[in-house]
Amino acid sequence: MVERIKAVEDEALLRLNDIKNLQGLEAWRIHYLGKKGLLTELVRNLRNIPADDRPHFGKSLNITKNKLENLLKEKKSTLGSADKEKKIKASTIDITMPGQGQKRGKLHPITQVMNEVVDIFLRLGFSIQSGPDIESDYYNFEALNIPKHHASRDMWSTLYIEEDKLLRTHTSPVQIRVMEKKKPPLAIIAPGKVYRRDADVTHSTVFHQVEGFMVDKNITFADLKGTLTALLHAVFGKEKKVRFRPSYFPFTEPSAEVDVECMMCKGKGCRICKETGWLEILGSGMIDPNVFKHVKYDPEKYSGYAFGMGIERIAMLKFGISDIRLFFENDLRFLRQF
Amino acid sequence: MRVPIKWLKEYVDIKVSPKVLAEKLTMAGTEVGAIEQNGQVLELDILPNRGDLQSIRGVAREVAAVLTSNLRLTTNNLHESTDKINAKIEIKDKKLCPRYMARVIEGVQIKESPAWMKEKLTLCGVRPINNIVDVTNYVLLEHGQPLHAFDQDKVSKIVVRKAKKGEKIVTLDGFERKLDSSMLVIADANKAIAVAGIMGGTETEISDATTNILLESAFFNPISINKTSQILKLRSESSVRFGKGVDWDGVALALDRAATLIAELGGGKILKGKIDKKLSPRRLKQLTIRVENTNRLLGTKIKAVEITKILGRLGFKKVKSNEKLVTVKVPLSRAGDVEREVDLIEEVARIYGYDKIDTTISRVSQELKDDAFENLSRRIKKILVGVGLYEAQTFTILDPGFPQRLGIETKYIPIANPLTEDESVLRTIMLPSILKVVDHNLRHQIEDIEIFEVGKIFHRKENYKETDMLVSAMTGSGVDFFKVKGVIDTLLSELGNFELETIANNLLHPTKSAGIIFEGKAIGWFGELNPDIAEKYDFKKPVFVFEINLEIMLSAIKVEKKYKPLPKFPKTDRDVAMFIKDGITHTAIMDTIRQTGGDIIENIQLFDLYKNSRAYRITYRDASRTLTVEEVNLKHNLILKTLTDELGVEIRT
Repeated sequence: MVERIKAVEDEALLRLNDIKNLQGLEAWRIHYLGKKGLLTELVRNLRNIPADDRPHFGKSLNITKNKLENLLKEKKSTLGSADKEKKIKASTIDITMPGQGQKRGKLHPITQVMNEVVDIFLRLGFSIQSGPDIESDYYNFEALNIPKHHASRDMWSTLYIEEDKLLRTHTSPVQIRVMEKKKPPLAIIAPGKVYRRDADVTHSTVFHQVEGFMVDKNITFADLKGTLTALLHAVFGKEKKVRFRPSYFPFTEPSAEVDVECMMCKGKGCRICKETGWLEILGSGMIDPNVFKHVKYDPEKYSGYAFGMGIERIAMLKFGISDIRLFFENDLRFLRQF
Repeated sequence: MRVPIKWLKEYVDIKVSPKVLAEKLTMAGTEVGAIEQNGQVLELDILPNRGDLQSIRGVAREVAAVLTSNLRLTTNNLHESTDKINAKIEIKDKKLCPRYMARVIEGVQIKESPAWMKEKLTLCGVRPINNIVDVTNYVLLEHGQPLHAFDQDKVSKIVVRKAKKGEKIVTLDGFERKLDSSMLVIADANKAIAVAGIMGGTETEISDATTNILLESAFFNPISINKTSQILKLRSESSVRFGKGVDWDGVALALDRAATLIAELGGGKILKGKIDKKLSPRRLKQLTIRVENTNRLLGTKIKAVEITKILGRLGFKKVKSNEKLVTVKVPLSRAGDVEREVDLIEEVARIYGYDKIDTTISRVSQELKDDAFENLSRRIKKILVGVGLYEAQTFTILDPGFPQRLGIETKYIPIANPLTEDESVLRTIMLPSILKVVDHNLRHQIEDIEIFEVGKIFHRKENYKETDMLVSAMTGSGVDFFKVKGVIDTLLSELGNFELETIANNLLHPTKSAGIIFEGKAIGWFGELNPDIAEKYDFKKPVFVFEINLEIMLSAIKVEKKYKPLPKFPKTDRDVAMFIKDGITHTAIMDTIRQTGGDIIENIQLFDLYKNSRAYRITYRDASRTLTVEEVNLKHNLILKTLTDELGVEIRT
């Protein structure tokens, strides 16, 4: 019996060496370890052996069986990984082929910059409001402390529809419209189209502005500085210098023009910044008491800051665009770049 | 304004370089746009409220304040002859001309100005002409006071009055000007000889033969000057200065300065006495600035002492002060723009230095919610960009000829004073704007175009109502009716329920078009651009367009989204393939399946179509139990039978 076991084992080991693929291995398994396999047959024959001898033969058989099973596992894994490798090699793809089906358009660069600016203020708790493009003289000028025939009207070249109807020259009328209806505290951001009778490579008759203002008790010029500095750092980068320069707007007092360090020359002076090292980005100031009077706010009780900025100008500086007309041609080769 | 540094130094000590001076002036509010002529000349941008800076002396005052430097404003050394002035002057409108002064200089010789004067004028960008004209220009630059020299022998008397209706004058620039009764003129006994404060007339102009000169120095009402200048479309160095308001006292100073210079350069004699017709003497206004209010507005801790010091440097003399407030007298040169406490606060802030003020951020908590349209607009843009469309931004003002190509009547809103014909009307429909973009791209060999815009159209009615619209145009490979319908489906099903209706719209193809109904409201239309219009544009391939009125859409949106429990029991899918007859619509098939199947139909999906062959996958599910195979088969067979019986389809097996 022991000889018989040994013979089967030897034969099995011999044949296993010659096996080259998984099908051959399976045939080998069936021949020796299958339900009707040679080794299984021997196990079955155990019952014909006298009871005393059984444990001895049984042990011997088990050792062989375990040995063959382990060898089978080993061989299977060797043959299997070779097989997988072959399959993987056969399925090589050209990863440089274009991707399929996923299309995405883009927002207009003006909208992108506008959203960027507006979102900064939304995070600071401002609310978006809007106003009409066609305004009355009252909202665009009079209520903003710009009386008729005052020298300051020359600051805006206006397109008129009728004597009292005009295309708003700035988004500032939204200040009046909101304050007329709501009492402080207020923090408003108002994006929109504005119009000027003026056109060249950096000026367009139609362009976009974002207006913002905050009114409450004890809002200060320091708040204006802090908020607008945070804005410009977010838009142009934290390392950029920002300066506040005294200026004049009829609807703010004191007023400030806000400049950012020129991004083209890093403040050294170049053609873009007219050798000054600074770029004028926005107009701002503390809301003039005369404006408060028009909306019946008490300037002794409330104070507030306001600011306005041209979006095309910021987009031109950010993206390095030198002709404002490109924005309105909507050439797809242009739009795809942003 | 061009300011030679050498000239400034006659009045103020400047010990810093032109660059430092420029920096200091800029940071105090007078922007130096450029330093020219090798550092000799500063180009200043004078703010509209700073009429007082439109002169060398005015700038010198500012420089002295900014640099804390000494100011030396010289006074005149005028020599009058013994002959008395005999000019007849009458002011008929003292409101528009609150002060009018004149002197007469006789026996003047007209000649070239001396080199020193010509040099200064040239540095300031003024062309020298002759000694008399040059003196008036020189004093204008020096004092900021416009003057006018008349040929005394051609002026019998001076009457300052409003122009008569239809009155005309030929101004020094050679144009004939039609005047109206709102305008102030300087006239002789019969006719206007100058448009007051704006430009003189040719008739009384100084010529080489002039020997006697009547020199005018006045204060004209700024509003009236601006209005006249605007109506006549005539601006001059003089009108700009009067328009911002001149210095009341400067009227007299400049007159004497000019008379002295004319006598010096032209060799004449100044007659004794001067005419000075004025409404009433001006008193210096007093203003009080509160320390607490200053710091409340600026967010600073500036003390009364510092406020007094700063205002003193700017020429505001202290009347009284304590630690809570400072009262000062406003110099006449600043009377036009410093009228309130807040104006003084600004003066303090700009000299104190904006850079010394803190940076803080305040937040408020307010009731106001975001504008609903702005939110909708953002959502729409996000969805459309997500399905591959590019956003366009076009002009709301356009060429009236361009939409005419559409072959429909539109009532534009014309602009009264357009810059160009191309931008002379406000749009009342969106389509021309977006087709212009298509046209531009096609002309530049870009054939696959999928674009949209969210923008406004304008109406004459309801006081120029404005409506927000969405418009889109698509053309090129893969674009057909159903592609566009797919875009609209993706957009609208995100926001509510929509369906289509047949419409007649001249802008669209008669059959490949539809109206869009959203939550029961007609909000727009879409389809292929009418081939006649496409032909006019020379579009070779079909262009598909859609337009949605966002105002109506916004009113129809149902904001709330509600959760439905996820199914607990398994689904069963069954496919049905069929041939259909012409005229059988997808909707008819869907409706038949749904009606026959009832509640256990969860979904029906068209998954294959070719010519008149259709294949649908029907998903069966019951929310409360697992359906048996027998139940599903029974229902499915019933559906097949109904489709065959009612719609005459041929079921493929």
